[in-house]
Amino acid sequence: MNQRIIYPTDDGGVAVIVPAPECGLTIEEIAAKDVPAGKPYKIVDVSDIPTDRTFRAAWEYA
Amino acid sequence: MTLVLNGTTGVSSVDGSASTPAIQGTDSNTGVFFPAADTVAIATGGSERLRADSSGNVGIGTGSPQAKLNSVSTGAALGGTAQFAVGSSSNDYENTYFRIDNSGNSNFCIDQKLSGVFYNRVLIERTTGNFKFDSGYGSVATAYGCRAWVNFNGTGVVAIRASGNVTSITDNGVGDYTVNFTTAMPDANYCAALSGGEGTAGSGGRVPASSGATTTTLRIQVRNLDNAAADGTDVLVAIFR
Repeated sequence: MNQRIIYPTDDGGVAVIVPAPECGLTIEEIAAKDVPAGKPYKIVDVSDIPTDRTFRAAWEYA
Repeated sequence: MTLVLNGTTGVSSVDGSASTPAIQGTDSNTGVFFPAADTVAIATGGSERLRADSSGNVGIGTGSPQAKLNSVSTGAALGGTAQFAVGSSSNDYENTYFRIDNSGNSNFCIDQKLSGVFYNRVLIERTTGNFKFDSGYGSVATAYGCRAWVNFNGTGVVAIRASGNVTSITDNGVGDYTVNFTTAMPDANYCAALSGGEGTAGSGGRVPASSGATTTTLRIQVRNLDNAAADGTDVLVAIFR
């Protein structure tokens, strides 16, 4: 899948859910299952995720 | 119609019984009889051995077959008379036996004979559902399966290479990931085998500990040799229970 699911973490950062290609679920189904209850989330294209993780801790949900 | 054989015994309008079949040869307690409407049975030695009932079910050792083919007998010990056998010849050295054992738990067994000795190869415990087999173990033992696994690259744009029973991983931060299971574990007391290759050249990778184990997720951390969080190039996780 060339999509990711992002949601804000409790410490102000952002978590990125990486779907398993072989799981048989849609990205929406994965979001419903794996995003913590009550958290807002977005489905984004993988190209929207930075490849440089040097400042990973500084990523923010926007 | 009455068919007379040997001048005395033959097919007639009588249904017969196991002890006196309607169709018989010179042995008067062995033959074919009709125990009920639309039902035919075969007896040997005065006992019913096989029956085809009005539903088309065939029973061996039962007068009330519950399936298209229903073989019933008391549990057998290893090497005893199994309920069913298949083979390539009449030589039982080449046969495989399917047996309900006489342990009192009615376990299902598959046995094979090698050099004159019977070996139990597979056993399914009826009460627990445990699946046991001997595949190089040296004896029949419960096969504890890998319940989930994932191989992913935690560097750059984190990506899963391959997985089983995993819907996704969550990238929580540097060297910090959550594995999300497709089918939940029965409890959180599973064993996680972890390894993580850390991406920085010249340093090794390890997973010092797992934390946050639940029935549906496992949070893991990858650390470098300085015990600092580090993204792993080859993060491997396998869950056994």
